[in-house]
Amino acid sequence: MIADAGGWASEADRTALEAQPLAWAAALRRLIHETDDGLRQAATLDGDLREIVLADLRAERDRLSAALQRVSGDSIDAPVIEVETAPAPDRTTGPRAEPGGAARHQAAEAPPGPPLLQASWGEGRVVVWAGGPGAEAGPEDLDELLAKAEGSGIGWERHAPVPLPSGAAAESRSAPLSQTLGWLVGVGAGQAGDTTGPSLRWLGEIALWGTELVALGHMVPVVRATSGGSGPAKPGMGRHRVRWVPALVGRERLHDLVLRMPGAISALQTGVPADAVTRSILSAVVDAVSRTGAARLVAPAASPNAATRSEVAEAVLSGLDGRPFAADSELAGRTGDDLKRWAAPVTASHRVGLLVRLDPPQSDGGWLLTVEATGVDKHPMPVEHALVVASGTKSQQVEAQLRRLERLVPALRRPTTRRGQVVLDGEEAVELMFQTGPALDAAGFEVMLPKVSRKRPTPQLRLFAEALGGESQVGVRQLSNVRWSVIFDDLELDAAAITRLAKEASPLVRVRGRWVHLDRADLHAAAAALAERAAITQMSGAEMIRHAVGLEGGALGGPVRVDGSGWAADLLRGATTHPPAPIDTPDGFAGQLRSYQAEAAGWLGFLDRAGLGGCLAMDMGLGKTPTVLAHALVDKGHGPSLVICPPAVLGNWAAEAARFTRPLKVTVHHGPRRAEGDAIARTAANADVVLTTYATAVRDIDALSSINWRRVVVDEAQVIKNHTSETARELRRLSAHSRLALTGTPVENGLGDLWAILDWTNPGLVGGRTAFIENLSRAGAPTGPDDAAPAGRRSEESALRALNGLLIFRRTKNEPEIAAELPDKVDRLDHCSMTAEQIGLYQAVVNRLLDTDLDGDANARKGQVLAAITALKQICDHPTAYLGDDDDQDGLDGRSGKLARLEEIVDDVFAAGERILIFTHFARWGEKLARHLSQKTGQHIGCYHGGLSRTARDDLIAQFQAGAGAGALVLSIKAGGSGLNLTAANHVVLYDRWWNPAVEDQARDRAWRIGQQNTVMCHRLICPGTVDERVEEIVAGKRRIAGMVLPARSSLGDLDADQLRAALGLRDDELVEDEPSPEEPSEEEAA
Amino acid sequence: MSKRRRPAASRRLAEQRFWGTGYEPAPVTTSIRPTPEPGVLVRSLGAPPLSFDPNVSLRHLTAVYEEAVRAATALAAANGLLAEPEQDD
Repeated sequence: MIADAGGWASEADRTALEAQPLAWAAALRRLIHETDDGLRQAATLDGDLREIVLADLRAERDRLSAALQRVSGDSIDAPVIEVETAPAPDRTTGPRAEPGGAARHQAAEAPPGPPLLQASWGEGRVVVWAGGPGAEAGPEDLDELLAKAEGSGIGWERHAPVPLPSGAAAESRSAPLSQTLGWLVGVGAGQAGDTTGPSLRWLGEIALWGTELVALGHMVPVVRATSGGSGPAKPGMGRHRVRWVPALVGRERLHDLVLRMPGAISALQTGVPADAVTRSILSAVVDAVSRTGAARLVAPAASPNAATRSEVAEAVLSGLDGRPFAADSELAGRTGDDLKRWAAPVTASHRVGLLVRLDPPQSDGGWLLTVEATGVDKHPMPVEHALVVASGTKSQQVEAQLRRLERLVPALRRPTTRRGQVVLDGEEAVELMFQTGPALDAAGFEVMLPKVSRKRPTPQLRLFAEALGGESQVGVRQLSNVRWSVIFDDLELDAAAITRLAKEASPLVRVRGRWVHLDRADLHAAAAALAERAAITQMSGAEMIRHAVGLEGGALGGPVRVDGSGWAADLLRGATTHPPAPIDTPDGFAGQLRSYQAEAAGWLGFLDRAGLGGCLAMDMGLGKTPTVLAHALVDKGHGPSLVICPPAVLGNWAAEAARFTRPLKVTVHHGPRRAEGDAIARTAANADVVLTTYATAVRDIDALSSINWRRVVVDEAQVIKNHTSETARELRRLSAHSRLALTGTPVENGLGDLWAILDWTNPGLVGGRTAFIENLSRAGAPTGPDDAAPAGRRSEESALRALNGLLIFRRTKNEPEIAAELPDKVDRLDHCSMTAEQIGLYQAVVNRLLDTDLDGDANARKGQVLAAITALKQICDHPTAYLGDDDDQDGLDGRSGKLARLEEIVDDVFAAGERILIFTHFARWGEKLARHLSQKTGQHIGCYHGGLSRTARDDLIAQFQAGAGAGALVLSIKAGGSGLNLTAANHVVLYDRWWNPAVEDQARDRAWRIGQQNTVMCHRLICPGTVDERVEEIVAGKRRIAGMVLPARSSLGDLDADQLRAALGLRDDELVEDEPSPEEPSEEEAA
Repeated sequence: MSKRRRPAASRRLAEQRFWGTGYEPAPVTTSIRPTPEPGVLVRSLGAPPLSFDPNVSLRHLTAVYEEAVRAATALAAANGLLAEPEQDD
């Protein structure tokens, strides 16, 4: 028939066929179907041979089909084999399954690829070699491929060559499985790159599965005779060892692996079926991993020659790590058989299984546990029924599984009317759902339990408010009827429900379809908390706010949740459930708000709407000033804002307003020429923002408090932390829709600072100082034995968290999303005041210079002018820097605006636990400054200058860099301004200015350089209206001094008296005069 | 289709099978979740049939299971295969 179809049949053959036409056609049809099967099989192949095989089979089919057509006139449709013309095939991955299950294959014949790392299995060893279809590989290829697959570190040994289909043999190496396991699991996890062949990847797959089986505890020990070990065995004795074999092996997964096993795996074991090879390797992996674990235990002692059953048992237990032992062969064989029977329910290959189902209680209150058998019939059936209807073997299998289950769920052994069905009480149900259930799954049973929540629900006290009195009483005094309950995550329970549940041994409740196990201790605590508050049925808005933020004592370990209606409930919802949205950068704002600034401005809007005050507590350098200005721009037209700040930052406010918010009308209320009396109100009426200083505000408090401000802002709010100070008391008189405090360190000295700030922003709202500190300190109790944070620090953090978003808006530079938005350095100009002493000295030096005969030669004049400039700069620093006073450190206080500003900066930096560099041109002044700051901060602060020995200088730098937490170092700009690496600091102060900006930048760059992890804040201190500011003009590249343009090659020696007066003299209109603060009591007195 | 009729195709198929050219690895098991109770399988089977105090043999066997599960867990962890702790949906 084949010869006929191919056209080479003899006449006799053809005559014989034609004698039986029906049989001939039938045979042709059978052959065509066989060929179609071959075509389908070949289509699942991949690679360069596929098309050759397909072409062969297609030609064969065409010939048979033509013959059938000729004999019977019939035809049979050919199978559809998809052909894809694709780029060269990826040898490492093979074909991928497409949706619908059809495999797509590449039709183009690929050229022989490079050799890949392959693996075979031989006598418990992994054998690796290099090869691939059509690839020729040498020993160097194997080394290279092993290195690429990160397998070089294994102690590979030479091994007999591996025979290849071509007849050639590949050089190979081998290692025991136990030595290669870690690597093979990595290969199985796809971590060995794309130079591994299918055989190695298959071996990795099986190594990973074996590891997974042991991780699940799915293995059992068996006893096997072995030839291993040492020493002659006595008569009747033999050597044995424990071997671990896999249990509860997934049939489908095993079958799939067998089908996909590349022939290369068994290249060294000809004639062994793939099924046996696969099982053998899986067992070897399970054995190797299990033995590794067993070897970690100290094995019990055993007889060297186990001759009794008891001794054999001892030998088995002590040999679980796989070490061979000598034992009576017959007894060992019997023990092995016993173990085999014992393990049979989990090692036998059968489909019978059990399904454990727990149904929630019905009206009788009991939980029904039922067991069904699977694999007996198409559908699961009650196990009692299965034991009756199943065949003998299957019935035994069901019985064996049921016994296993009964050992794990003893309740199933209770005498009941039906085997495999029992009613559980609540406690038993809890145990099954939360503990035994996962174990049953691990033991190989199918488990269907009600959904549970494993998370322990956190109880929270809830206060539900119903406002009284309508709209007329809105605000902190608004009274509401209140109702108390406790929420366990999503479940609200009233006192009655809690009392009932607390009586149950294992209280279970259902929440959103999941069963939740409540802790009885939590229930008792909840019942007590509700009982304590049972009498509180009415509350003011302020009281509710205090409860919500934990200021009325802790309840159940956290703040109270406030819901319902009324001012307080709406306010809290607006702050927490529906927090205010960030604002868009307002029209007229020059620049772009950062995301946290936009959020902060959104929160300021929330405060305005709620009529609340707040504390904007963003870290120094995060832009509190532009944020407040942006909000003022959004709010423009609703009334003037009064900003009160230290003199040093007054200029900064004006400068930032001019830079960012030009549409705002900004007025500075400061200095001798400021408005007085009624004129202040007129000035305010025409302004959007009025800027003033604390001292001026206190001085003009009568006039300022007669104005209805839209908001009053206190910048550097630590000034009011002493609530009994005159400043704090007087500023309380100001009338405003809302009060806002700005500070980067809201808890500089403890929770008392925070209370003072919040009590100023919202008088009365946060309650008394003592209760505030007590309640928030309690909230900051240690979270666990590992919580090593100091108690004070914990309380402060806890307080800030509780109040954040409502009365405080806290953001720090350490928050990753904020750090990502920050520039790597921020340069800031701080305008400092001059004390009367500084002004007097300054004027005297200028006068003396001008009084000197300036008609001498130019060089002499230049020297005089330069000496005067140096003196003026020293005076701006501190009178002591100029006068060279003795070293009475107490004498430095209150004599320099710059020093006062520096102390504020150092306080902030130290409060944040950070480090700062302070540069000055004057080494002697630097030493005094260092001593002064040491005294102020209580920390030793060194001064680095050229007068020190090299060793001393190196020690200073090393100590500073190695230090942790808050710290400072004063440096002379000449000695320390270049070459040093001081990245431990992220704050730099340029205490005095130098003509050349590059010198200043170099100094700043001691901190801002590679290795710096944080944003570097650089403060440049200047005294407006003095030589400092002229220097600043030159540094800024303006080259304009005193209203005149210096010729390109001008010299100081060329200036006449008027020009010198203009260049160096004081400008009254720009000068910031120091304003001595009113006498303030100490913090102790205040407390 | 007998080998006799198409020896070349058959040989090519055998080569394909040897090299595993059509090999498609199973989806990589990216997470192994070790059993919460390593000795549960032994507990379900009852004390092993060793002529020994059943409690002692069960205890020692359970201890070995715990160590074996620990070894497998370490192997999985070293290859980044450990599953995250189970969470509620």
